[in-house]
Amino acid sequence: MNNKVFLLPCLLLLLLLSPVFAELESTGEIALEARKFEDDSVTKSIDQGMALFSRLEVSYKGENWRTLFRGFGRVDQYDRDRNILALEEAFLEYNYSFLDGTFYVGHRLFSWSAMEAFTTADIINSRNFDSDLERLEKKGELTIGLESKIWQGRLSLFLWPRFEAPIFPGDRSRLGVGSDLDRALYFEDGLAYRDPWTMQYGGRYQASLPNFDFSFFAVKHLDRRFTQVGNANFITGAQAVAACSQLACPIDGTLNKPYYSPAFETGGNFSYVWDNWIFKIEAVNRDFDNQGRVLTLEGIVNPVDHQEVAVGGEFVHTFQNGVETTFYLEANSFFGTTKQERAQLWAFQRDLFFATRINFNDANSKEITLSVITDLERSQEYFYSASYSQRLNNELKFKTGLRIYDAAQKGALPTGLEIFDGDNQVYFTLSRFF
Amino acid sequence: MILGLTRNSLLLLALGLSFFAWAETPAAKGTRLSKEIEAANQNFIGESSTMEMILVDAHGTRTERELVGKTQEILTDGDKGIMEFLNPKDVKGTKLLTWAHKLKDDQQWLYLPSLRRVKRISGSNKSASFMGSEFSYEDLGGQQLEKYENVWLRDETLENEKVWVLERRPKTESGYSRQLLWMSQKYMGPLKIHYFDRKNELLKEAIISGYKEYTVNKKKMYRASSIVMKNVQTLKQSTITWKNRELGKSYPDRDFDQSNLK
Repeated sequence: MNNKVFLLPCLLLLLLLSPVFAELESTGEIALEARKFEDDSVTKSIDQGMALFSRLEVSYKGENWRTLFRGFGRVDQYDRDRNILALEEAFLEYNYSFLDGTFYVGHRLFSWSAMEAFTTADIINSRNFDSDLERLEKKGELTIGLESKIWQGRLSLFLWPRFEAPIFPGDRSRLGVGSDLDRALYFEDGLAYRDPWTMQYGGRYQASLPNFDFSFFAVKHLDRRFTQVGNANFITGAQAVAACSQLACPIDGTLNKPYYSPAFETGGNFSYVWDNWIFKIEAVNRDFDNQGRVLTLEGIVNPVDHQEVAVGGEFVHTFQNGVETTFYLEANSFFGTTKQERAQLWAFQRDLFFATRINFNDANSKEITLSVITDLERSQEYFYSASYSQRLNNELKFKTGLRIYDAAQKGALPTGLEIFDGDNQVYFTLSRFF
Repeated sequence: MILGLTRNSLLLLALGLSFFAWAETPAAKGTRLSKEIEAANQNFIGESSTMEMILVDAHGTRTERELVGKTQEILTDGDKGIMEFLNPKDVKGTKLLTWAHKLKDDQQWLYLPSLRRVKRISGSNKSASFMGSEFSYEDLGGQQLEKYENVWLRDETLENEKVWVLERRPKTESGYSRQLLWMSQKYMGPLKIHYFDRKNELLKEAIISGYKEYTVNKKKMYRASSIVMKNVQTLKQSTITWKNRELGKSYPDRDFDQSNLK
């Protein structure tokens, strides 16, 4: 794994830069994760998981600077493809007085979305697609960043010199497509590359005014929200007919390579607070370079330029007995595409999300969350989720719940949420925090 | 003689009427005293402290919480404050940033460290429990003078301290119908507060103690070291103890910026 290369130097850097080891701040967790899927009658697939998860964060703060390292790892007893060691953050940050500025270099996580389910504006970090669909784990992005206070907010400029590939489930995972995917590639000047060093850049402005927060961004980068799985090295026409009796066929015979394309993305979000309500809207316009074509199971495809919009709101009510209930309602849609193209882009392409979180506000922080996502465009596509969590003492906490995917396959190939149809699961996680 | 009154009697009556005309009404006195109390506690510039909170349920089971906090004084509006949770461990690193306002709802952001996410939260939800304790966000937030109507009720002695008993009624949305405050004339802070729910029934009683003297730019002021909040309806109890409190600290604006929570 490429990130392992960075772990050791980052740790060493952290230690070298910390003159007073005793003042290092640390936090983390160790968790036992158990999950059981509904039997799919497929011998090859793994219907249960029993994993040990650990996350560690170490930081040191000086007068004008700080350094931080955070990473997580998971070892699964049944599915070795779930084993992961991921770097989330490892950076050095310096603050200076001119325009209240900050400069940093290192791996960072970015959370730009204000939404709960349809995180449209969260465009930067690569995801671990072998994690919970409603909140995919993120990998850190190597970043050189500059921030300054401008008017009521902060302007950030970024350079991302490295392509961080997403993580995919293995061929036996219930959350995968049933086959192992090759290492990710990206297009540049019409050619597909694996070399991780490539230049990406962007800027973002965010500000807060009395009743609302807003942000705008413009980013030129390799979009990793949308994966095209296939092969960019293929032949067509008579040559293909002669070779594989089809109109197009891959030269090496495989269709398991994930490809990513450069895109210029502009967008932002807006949150408005009114009494116990918070209203939100966020949108992104994606303009792909269209440099490379990929032969996929659906044919030869190019990434499709599109717009993605999500609107929503949340309402909080506190009862006299202290129980706090929050209701969430969100809707999203992709525009500038056909219905079929939308469905191929993402599992939630024109959907409605409704959830309620009941926080008992007691000493053990008991909490129940219920949610449903339903497709507004494609019939019979539902994703249900229910969870319960509570603290056992100052260090121990458990969470248990279930996820139900109801999205029967309607075409020749499973599309969007159909990939997960029947991958219903119950889970239990016991975490010890330190 | 007019209507049987002597000249002296008329003089006394006139003096008495003049006295009543000049005397403060309870509301005016309450407002004046509240302003004096606010002024006595102003000009602290900035404050930092560690808060230990002990929650005790009706069965006597104890749970502990720990936070660090700092406040920046804003004389023209409400103060800005940030609290970072240290314990329980699962919420370690969670931060609550509050920009209090004199008349408008407070602005609040919650930083969730596991997601590296700063989430705007509704500042109007003041009656919610703070970390499962008997304290609400309203109890711990800035009690801006402008948000309450203060009425002086009487002078008393409590725990050998001279106190003003004031009634405080909210002008804006509140979890309480009213509060009764026993304000120490020495510390210019409360020694006891009774909180009444929306049905005007006694809900909670706070006992404030351990006042310590601080000097900021030659001005003396007092801050309490402990509040015991007892819910008389559920019999649950929470205690906050402040440690390592420092006043007169100056912080850069960026420390109270939402982008700096990460």
